[in-house]
Amino acid sequence: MIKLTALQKDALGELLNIGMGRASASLSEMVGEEVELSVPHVNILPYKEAVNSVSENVGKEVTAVRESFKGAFWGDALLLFPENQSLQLVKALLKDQELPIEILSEMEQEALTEVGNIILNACLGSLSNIFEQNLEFELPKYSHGSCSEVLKQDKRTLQDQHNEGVLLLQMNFSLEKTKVNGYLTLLMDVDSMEALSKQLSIYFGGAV
Amino acid sequence: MTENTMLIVDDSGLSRMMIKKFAQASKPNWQIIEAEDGEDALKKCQGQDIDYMTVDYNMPGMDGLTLCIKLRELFPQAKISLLTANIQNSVKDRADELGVIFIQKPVTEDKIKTFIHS
Repeated sequence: MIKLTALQKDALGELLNIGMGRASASLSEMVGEEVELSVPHVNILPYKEAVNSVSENVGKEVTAVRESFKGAFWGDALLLFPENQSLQLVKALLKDQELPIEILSEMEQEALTEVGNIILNACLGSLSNIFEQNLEFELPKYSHGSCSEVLKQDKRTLQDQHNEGVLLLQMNFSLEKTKVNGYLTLLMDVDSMEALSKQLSIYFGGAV
Repeated sequence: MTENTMLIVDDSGLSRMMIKKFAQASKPNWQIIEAEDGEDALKKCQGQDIDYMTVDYNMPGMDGLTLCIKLRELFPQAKISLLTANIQNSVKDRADELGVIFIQKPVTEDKIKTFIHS
């Protein structure tokens, strides 16, 4: 299985940190409270282990917004919430709208999709700007279910290559007042990982 | 005095709801037209005189910048903003080239107020 050097891992973690910093500023603007961030986790794992790792963090049942991206590197970006926490976030988001709880529940899917879109775009957009490479995003998709179902790929990208491992970039964020924890996860296949390593090398002038 | 008309194009109903709410807080008498994608926008703005527009970038069908080009031809005097989560410099640069104001999501009252008073 392909390996990243300690320096490459460090560089990826730092870039994710910058991307997530931007994303958390957007989230904070939306809910009007401070967002706490974890340290970034960077791992290359067999696909099944990657799913297990996400499941251990987020829980077996999750709510997710997924956005696939392509360009100089490619993969899937997911914003994951433990099953019972997504409505809390929607409530915080729409707190000034004075909507009854039935309407809030109805709007949950739509609101989360838009939150996911903003957070994932902020994170990936800052990576794209750092590398000076354009990325194209698919429309955000909402899903809900078991962690393995939600992470399952409907395209060639990860499924065909799961033996070679996937790059898993993960960072957790939490809203203390609203009591919501979310997980931003980037999954990339081996070819994309190599393309990303090339970008890292260009960006750090060959030092990484 | 004739009131202005504002076109809001966004595939997210939530975003449209918030933009509309913030616009009406500043300009309660403005006419607001909502559209959920580019095609819907072009259909709904026929026969209208649009003064202000907010256009999302990532939507089903044509993207927001393609729509901005078409809207600019139809309404050369209108103030157009690209209101998007896509913060890539390449998108901002293309918006600049088209004379479209770039506004980063999330939607806030201040951002909408600044736009409609620009």
